[in-house]
Amino acid sequence: MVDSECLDKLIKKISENDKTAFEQLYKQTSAAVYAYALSVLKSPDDAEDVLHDTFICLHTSAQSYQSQGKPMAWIMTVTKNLCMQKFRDEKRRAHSDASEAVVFESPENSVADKAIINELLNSLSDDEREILILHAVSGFKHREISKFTGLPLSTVLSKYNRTVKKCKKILGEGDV
Amino acid sequence: MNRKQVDEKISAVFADSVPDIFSSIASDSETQKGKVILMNEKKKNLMPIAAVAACLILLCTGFFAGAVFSRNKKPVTTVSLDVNPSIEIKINSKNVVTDVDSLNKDAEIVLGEMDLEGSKIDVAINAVMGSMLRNGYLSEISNSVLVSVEGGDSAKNAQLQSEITKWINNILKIKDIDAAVISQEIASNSNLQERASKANVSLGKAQLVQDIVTADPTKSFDELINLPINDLYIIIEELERKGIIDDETEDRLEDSLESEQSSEKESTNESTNESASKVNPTKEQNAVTVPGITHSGTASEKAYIPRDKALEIALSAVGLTKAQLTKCEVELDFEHGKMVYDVEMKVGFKEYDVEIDAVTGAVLEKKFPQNIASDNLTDSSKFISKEEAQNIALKAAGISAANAKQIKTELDRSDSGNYKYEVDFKYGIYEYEYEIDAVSGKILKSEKEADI
Repeated sequence: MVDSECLDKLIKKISENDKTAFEQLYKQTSAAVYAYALSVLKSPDDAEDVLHDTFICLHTSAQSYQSQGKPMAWIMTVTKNLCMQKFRDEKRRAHSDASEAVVFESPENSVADKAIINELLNSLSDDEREILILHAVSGFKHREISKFTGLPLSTVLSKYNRTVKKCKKILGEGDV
Repeated sequence: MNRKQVDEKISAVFADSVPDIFSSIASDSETQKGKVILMNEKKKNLMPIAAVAACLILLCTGFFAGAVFSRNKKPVTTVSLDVNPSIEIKINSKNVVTDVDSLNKDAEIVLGEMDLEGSKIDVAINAVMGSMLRNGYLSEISNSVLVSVEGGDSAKNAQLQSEITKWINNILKIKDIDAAVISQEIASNSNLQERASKANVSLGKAQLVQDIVTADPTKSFDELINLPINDLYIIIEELERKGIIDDETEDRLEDSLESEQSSEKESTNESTNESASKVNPTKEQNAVTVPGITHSGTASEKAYIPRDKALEIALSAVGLTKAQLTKCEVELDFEHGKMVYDVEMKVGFKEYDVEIDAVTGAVLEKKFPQNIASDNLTDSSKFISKEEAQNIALKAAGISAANAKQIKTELDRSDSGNYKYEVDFKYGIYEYEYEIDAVSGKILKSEKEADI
């Protein structure tokens, strides 16, 4: 889990054009950004684009960042907005076939990991996946997820519990 | 595998799958810095433009107030003051007023014949605040001012915000009023500007209202936009208080879930009951629910009947005494087009809800515990025991308790508010899941899945 105070410091350093800090921020938060983008867009290519754009955006806006002790919320909001934009762009291109199963292919991954990601993309609902990723990878609390997604806290909690149950199965299969 | 391990595993899987594109990002961000955009480059180098465009869109959403990208343009800053009068003051880079706009009728009264053009911003603020006091817009019962700063650079804006807050505090202090000031940096947003103009308020107020609505979707923009800042501030304070409560409730829920998971044989009857008990609203750290604003002071509630009085009225409306209550919450909120006290009282598991007009003290609505769910709650002795629930499930599955493995029984509350037992167990390769009504013992759901 990433430490908010540490992220705040990094963002401040980035605003002073500190390249090492930028790289640190990437190391600590890129998984959360990428996982979220992938879970929303269901396309590794699009997710990579959003990962790229998000960090460019974070770099550009570091100066105007005002810490409220929630840097992760800021980063995820940037990610979410860029995902939404990507989504709209895709729609305009009008050949999204949502019904088709998504296949996640990436040369870097182990076979087991690929299988797990594919399962997550195909067998969880969009809400479930969003909540899971925000909790597991971004380190959000349920209350923060509720704020972030606009879903009531009770819904987030119950969906999360259901998702964890499903995940146990997915992960169980992935391990074998 | 518990929830934490699931989280960790998922996190690890994604950590391994992130493409390493940092070097490309680093070089693109440098290109961005020097604003050199090579049109003939391949796709990747055009990305920063899209990113910057996205950033601008993002700014308009008001998530982080401020940030101005047009560094080359000569900054012209707009300071808007909202109480109920909404006034917009434009200043140049030397903090000299270039233009003053009254956005509503109240503002016209406040500005009167004043000619503020050419004077320094501090003088202008002083004059405007003085007039607001004289005309009764600021008083002991309405002490809240919203300061919004738009344009200019962020650092300068932050300084301006804090200076204006200080000036306002000083002016109101002369009249023995403790000011409550909300200040924010805002970015221009044509869509929101349109809604603001329609409602005759400043963009800043529209932004504040939008932030409130985002934080609390039960509110609507149109009903809040014409409320005085004092009432909006009360709503924000109330929201933040709720934020704290949510925080604690969640921690408790997580704790109880976690303990259920780790000690599978322990009864959860107790922990579910406990989560409904007291909430301590004194914790204050990380209670920001409305992002982008800083505020100081407390909004005056003197226009409304005191909270104790509201509680008294509520108690007499439902025929209870304070000593009987196990928990109570008094919230000042905006509902049905007016400020109301929402008084929530609990006696054991019975919940009483009374809404009181915050001005007149009239009881607008009272809710007694009446649905079956809360009747069930009142008497947990009506519940069948955990063992009984377990036996019902095992019997339905046709498996003896000795053969079933990993039996887990939890008391849970369904969406409709009724209590139920969730019984999970394994037999051979099969995983069984039953839901049993906690009162009637009826099987609500049964599932059998092969766990390979």
